[in-house]
Amino acid sequence: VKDDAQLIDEALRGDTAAFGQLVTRYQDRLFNALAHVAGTAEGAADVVQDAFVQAYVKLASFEGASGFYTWLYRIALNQAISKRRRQRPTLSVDQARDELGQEPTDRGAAPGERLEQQERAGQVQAALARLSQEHRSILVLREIDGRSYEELAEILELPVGTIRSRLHRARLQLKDELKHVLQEDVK
Amino acid sequence: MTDVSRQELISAYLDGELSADERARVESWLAENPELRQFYDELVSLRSGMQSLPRHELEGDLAPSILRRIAEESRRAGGSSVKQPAARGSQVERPAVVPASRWWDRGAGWRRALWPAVAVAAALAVLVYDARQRPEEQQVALAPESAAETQAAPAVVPAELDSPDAENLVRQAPGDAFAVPPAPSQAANDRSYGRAAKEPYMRRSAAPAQSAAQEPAGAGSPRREAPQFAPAPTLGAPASAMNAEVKLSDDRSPPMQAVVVTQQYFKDNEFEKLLKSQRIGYERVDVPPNASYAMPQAAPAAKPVQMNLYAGDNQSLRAGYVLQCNDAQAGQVLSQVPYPRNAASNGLVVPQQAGKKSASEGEFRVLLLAPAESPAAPGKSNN
Repeated sequence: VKDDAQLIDEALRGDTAAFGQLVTRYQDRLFNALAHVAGTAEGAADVVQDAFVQAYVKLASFEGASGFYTWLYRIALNQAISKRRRQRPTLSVDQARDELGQEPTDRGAAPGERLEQQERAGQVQAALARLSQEHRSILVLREIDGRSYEELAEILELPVGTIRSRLHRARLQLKDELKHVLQEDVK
Repeated sequence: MTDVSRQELISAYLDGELSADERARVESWLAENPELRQFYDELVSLRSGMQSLPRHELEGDLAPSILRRIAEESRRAGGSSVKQPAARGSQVERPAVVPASRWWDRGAGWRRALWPAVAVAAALAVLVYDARQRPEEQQVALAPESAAETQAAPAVVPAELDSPDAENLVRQAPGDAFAVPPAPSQAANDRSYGRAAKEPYMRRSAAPAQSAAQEPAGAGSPRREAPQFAPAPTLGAPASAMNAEVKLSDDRSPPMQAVVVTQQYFKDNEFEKLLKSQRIGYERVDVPPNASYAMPQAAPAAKPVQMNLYAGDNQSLRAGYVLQCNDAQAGQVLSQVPYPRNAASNGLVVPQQAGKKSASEGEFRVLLLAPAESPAAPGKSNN
């Protein structure tokens, strides 16, 4: 299996199939992260496509200082922002719940557990939807996408110290939104 | 160390982002302090909740359509059969898909000359921006694609707020684009910071700073049909900057959009000291040099910066954007804000820094603009 650097070199030499492998490698992860950041999967596939095309155009400027995915994610986030700015859709909490309702959290779980998981996921998703975009983005990138502080700093173009404090504030905000659920958990 | 600082360290501990010393310190807190232990447990629970969210799955492989688009756009970009991006370091080969050239790519000289005006106009745009109630065309808008255009650039080092390089200080917050439209503003914080001003800001701003505190109390009822950015009530001259209060709306109301602070106050981190003294969290957001806004009109030279302010027990975001300007500029900018001046005041003006006699010597003004949806309580004072 070729690593990212090899595929990028090949793409730069004109092998679009190599770039296609990069798409295949990262499209699902990128789609999942963007959909969680936006609070809806609607339109996320278009953003993923736009981001990859943009990344291809700019590939020569990718210097490898960060990982390809980190770089790609930054492009995608900006694409998503531009897109949202043009559309300014609203995400309703009900919409978030509806989406979750169509997507069981654990298909292997018993029906009772599944219901509980869905309910819990719905609460978390609804709470996320009520956060500011800044806080939602950083939480998704950290907790769901597993980005390190350094990667977050690169993606969000912020100093690492700011990442730490913003993440903390985002958690406080989410904690506040979910305080009733948390009280049950911690008991 | 405050509880907030400890909690922030615990948050970073959860992420495995602490030094060995810090880690040891956090572990001792967790062992000895039940409240902090509970806080940690709650963070773990939050993480678990987020990680148990269902994955969003793509319905199919996007690679074929992406490669098709690349090929199509290559053809459109000049009929060339070339289908690869420019090779690294090549001065000859060009990307097959060339982004449309931007206005700022077409003349570096005049672009530099124009930037201050652009930055200032951005400040004005920021000032009048209110996602809750403005029609779309009045909102600050990042030039489409401009953000993506900067992606290949290395991360920008945060600019100092008092840096002369205003060009680095304008950016649309990523959050604004995604933001769920906020709920209607709630009543203003019931704390009061001096008598509410009946007079419009311009008049007050033209008067000597010392006279500001002598303006009549009372505030007219706000008009509900239009969003109203409220010029500030005056604050009785504080003994020092540290006695001033920055008024941020309560936790549940949506963030304000702009704060106006005169440049002098940025020196020696005075503004940050003030925020710290009032337990208002802040963060500066650095700005890509070629970020751009749609500008409604020109405005006097001032520096817009993005600085997020957090307040309340949960340190939630309460204000974005800061405009640095001198006193006259503040008046000019506000005179161009196209909203009624008879709104109830719920901002704050700090008339004078201790020991300073004029704006040029360091008078500062902190003016928080927020829609005046409820009148400030007249006659109350924080003194």
